[in-house]
Amino acid sequence: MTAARRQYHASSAGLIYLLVSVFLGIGAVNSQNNLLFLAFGLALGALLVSGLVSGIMLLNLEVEREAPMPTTVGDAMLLRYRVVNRSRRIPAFALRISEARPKRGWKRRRDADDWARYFDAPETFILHLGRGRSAFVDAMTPAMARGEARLNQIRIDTRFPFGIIRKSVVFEQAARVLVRPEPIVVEGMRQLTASAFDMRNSGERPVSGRGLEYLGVREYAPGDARRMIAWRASARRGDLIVREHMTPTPERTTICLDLTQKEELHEEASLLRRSHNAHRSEDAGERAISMAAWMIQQAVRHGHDIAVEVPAAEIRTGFGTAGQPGAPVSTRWTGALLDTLARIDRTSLSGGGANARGLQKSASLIVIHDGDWSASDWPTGAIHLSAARMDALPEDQSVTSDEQVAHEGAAA
Amino acid sequence: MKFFGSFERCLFLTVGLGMLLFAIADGDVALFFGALPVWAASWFITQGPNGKPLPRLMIGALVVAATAYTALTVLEDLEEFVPAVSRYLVWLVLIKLFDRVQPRDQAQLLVMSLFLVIGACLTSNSLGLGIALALYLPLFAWTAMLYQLHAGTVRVERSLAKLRPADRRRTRLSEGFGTIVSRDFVFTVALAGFASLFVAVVVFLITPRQSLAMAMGAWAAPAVGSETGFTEEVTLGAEGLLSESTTPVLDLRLSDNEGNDLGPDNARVHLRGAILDSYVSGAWRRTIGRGQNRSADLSGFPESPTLLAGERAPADAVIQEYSFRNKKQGAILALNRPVQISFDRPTRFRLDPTTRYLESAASGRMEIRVWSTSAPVRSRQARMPRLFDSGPIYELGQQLIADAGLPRDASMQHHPNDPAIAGLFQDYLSDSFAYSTQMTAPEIDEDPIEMFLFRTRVGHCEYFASAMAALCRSVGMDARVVTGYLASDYDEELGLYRVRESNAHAWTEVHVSQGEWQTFDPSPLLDVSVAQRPPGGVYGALLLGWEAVERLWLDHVVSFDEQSREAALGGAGVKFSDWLMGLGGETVRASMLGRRSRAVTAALRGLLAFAIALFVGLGLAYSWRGLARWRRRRRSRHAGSAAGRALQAQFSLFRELESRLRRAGFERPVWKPALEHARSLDATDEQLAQAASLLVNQHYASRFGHRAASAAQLAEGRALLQSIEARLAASRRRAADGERPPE
Repeated sequence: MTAARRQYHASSAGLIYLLVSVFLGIGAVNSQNNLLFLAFGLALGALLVSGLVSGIMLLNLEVEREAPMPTTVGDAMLLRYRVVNRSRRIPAFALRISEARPKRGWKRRRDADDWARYFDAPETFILHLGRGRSAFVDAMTPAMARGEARLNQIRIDTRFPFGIIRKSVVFEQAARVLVRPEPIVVEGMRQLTASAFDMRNSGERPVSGRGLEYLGVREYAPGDARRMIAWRASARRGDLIVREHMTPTPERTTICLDLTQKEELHEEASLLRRSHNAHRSEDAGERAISMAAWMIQQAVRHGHDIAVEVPAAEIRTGFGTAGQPGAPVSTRWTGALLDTLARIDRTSLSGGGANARGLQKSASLIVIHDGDWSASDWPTGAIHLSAARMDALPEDQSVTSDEQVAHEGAAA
Repeated sequence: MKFFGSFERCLFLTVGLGMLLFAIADGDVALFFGALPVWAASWFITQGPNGKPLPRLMIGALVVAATAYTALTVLEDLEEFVPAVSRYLVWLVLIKLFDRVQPRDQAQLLVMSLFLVIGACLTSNSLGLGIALALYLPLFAWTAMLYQLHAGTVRVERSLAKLRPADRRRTRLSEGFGTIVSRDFVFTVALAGFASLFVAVVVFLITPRQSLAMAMGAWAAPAVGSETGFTEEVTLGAEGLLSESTTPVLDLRLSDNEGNDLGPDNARVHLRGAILDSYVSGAWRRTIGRGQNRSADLSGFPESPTLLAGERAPADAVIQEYSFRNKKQGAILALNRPVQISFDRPTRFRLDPTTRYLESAASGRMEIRVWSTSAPVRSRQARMPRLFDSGPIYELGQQLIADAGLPRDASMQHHPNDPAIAGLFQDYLSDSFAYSTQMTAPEIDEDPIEMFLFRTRVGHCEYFASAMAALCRSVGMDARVVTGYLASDYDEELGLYRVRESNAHAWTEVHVSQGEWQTFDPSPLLDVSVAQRPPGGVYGALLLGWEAVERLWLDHVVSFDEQSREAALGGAGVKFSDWLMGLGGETVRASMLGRRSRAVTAALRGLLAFAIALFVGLGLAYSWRGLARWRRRRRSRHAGSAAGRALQAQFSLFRELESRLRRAGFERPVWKPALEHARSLDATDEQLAQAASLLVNQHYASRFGHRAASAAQLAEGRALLQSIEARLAASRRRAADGERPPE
């Protein structure tokens, strides 16, 4: 990591200070007032010292950002920095650490992965960093939008000692951080998904585990639990024998995101997005992704194996237990699926329902639409949800009419 | 040291010390004792256990009142501009102390206290101010550096407030503010402070003096202490000349042409100020040098003395070097008779050739050198009109000269007995009358001199001098009253006379022969010495110590001039100084003759052009930024389709709702959905919660459902917003009245 550039920044306070100093100088020369000469000298001295001290302080600083962990929309983004003061003589004070964005030309243009689209400028502050010391500080800022943000540069700036001049030094350190979608539940989703994530196991596999089905017996091995010992069989054979059972096979569910509406990447959209502080799912597409995130969490909670497909973005994850039939679903797989949702780029969607027929086979299929859909485009038996119509019920679902009335009442 | 670890306390002290500085400089004790309680009260009112700032309306009203009063004061007397503005700053500071306490406001307080100190430097150069500055500047530097830490901490705390409580707890910051006052901080403050002081001293030493002085008009050099001067009128029985104050007004060094110190040889030195020759209705006035015998207008320069009446100083001339703390416009002190004069800066002055009376409009701190000789003026002088040519004073005079066997024809201008007669009158008064500084006013229609001579027989120097002049004029001798200083306090170590306010004195000059005026002091010298003697004891020792330090302050700081600079810097400084003086001296000489030098004009024009360019440039830069911001907002408002504009209009309603809730204290946490937050308002006001929920649902339907809001829906939204504002106002009123919210 290298320091990119050092800069001095003008401020209104500095300009006013300059004007007052000039006034003092003119007044001193005109009136021959020696106290004013001293005051003018002090003003000049403070100006010089302000630039020198801040420059020397920053000269010996190094900063490093720890690899940021993924976060979720609405949660705080945590960035941890390690700042080192390599100077043996000069301590550092009033250091502000923040993320900088590279300038392109005279106008800053925001790229799609510019971190400013996803969270407010994170910054933190170090009051004092002694000579030869290092410090870890955190910067937290609410994550506002889903996606993969790129961090480019770290800026350290200070106005110490007198606040006349602000000096900054920028360190190049690129990193990427994922902002996962915020899981949201629309009214009625709980009832609908309960039928999809049934607690009953649909099958077991012939691997020793904790299932109900009998698998076989074997010799006792040190470490086996005593309750597994088959005493009668052991008594007949004269050796200790233990019983084995099968492992339950998790249900497989595919969550398909039918995204048809492209995201407009212009300033108005980003302005609208950034002004809504809480949920960043301010359009149907984002709400669909957020609903899918909730689905994933619920599915894993119920022991289901989940695959995510986004036909319009040509995303197909496969199941978490692929290659290990019957293996349990790990929490890391949940994170991987959420990361997949985070990386969906809605600015380059290629169309939706056209690829719907190529979906992976699974016990359940939940389709989340960001708009209207046609039933003929989708396999029968699928559960459909629409993020665009909060008060609308899905077409293909197993909720009874009584439950439908109850749902309408709750939505009202 | 923990005390100075609190930024609020340091700021409070800095502001108070700034006000004290200004009060010392302005000599306004009332200001200090009036402001001090207010300053102290502000701490308890705003920082105390239940402290809170004053309402904004009250703050605004106080500022308007202070501004109006200052404007009226300045309009009445433009010369009071600097003191009036400085007092205005004091009031603003006091008002600001009761205002809300945000980092920006604290920075403004700090800057305003600094401006007060600058105003103090423009007002005075006293030692007290210097000592207060020595305390203020380190404290200001300390507080300014603490402010950088404080402002950064507040900023981070504000950004953390946007997070959920659990996230806030996860955040790790650097060490707390309470432990910041460590060795490192003290070291850094000391380093920055001494470095700044070093640069200040370098600038102080290398900057040439006298170049372009007064090029922008007469900014008077600030004074030390009260003004020294004499009016051209003394009214017997009224307050004026006398003072018991021991404040030094000037220092005087006497030497001869060879540089030998003449101080030890002269116990008392009469320094002439105003020369008063006309007595009317109990008051002496100056008439000589007016009317037909007008004074001559002359100019004096530092490098060459000005000859008075065309004659050079003789070899036996006494050279007087006056160092005024604060000279008033008017008489220039000098021994009788001045023949040559030079000033520390180019100065215009007037000379009465008859009396060698000198006066100048220059004021403030001044160094004047005068050459005087005792040789008489060889010129005819008009005879003064007789005074008291009848009455008791005339009879007394006749009696005295008759008893002494010194007859004199009153019709003669000069008589061989004149010196003896004058001496007779002097001895009579000094032996037969008592000296007192107590003021006694004459009765109605009673002449003050007659009151002194025949009724009270006690008085101060004005009476003694007036009585002698009256006696002399009654017998036909020309005599006049002279007011000035009687220098008697000689400091052998420093080799100079320390003249104080209490040394003000009056004596008589008598025209004993053609062109020769002799000085006679009829006041009892012993009594005068007792009255003018500086105090003794511990107080006297402390006073002397203070004056010694003040002398150093004045010599090495306040009076630091080109000579001092050359002595400090040596040859290099001399060369640099000569080059600049050549430019500056020529320029000033040209301006003294009434022609403004091209160089000065060009420099002033260039400076004005630079200031205008800077102002215009800054204005353009800020305008450009504001314009760019406005265009961005306008573009975001009008960009996109009609549906997008409707969406934006609906969104504006939602934003307005959030803003009003925030102002009313119902700010939505960043992690809470809008609808959930709206519903949670029913704990405060059910109707408010309903209206807010309706507006949020409308917003959701428009944005998430991609259904553009119709005009009717927008109108409904605005109506909902108004009802929400009404409910919030009602809630505030209930809270103010202590009522419970409705069930």
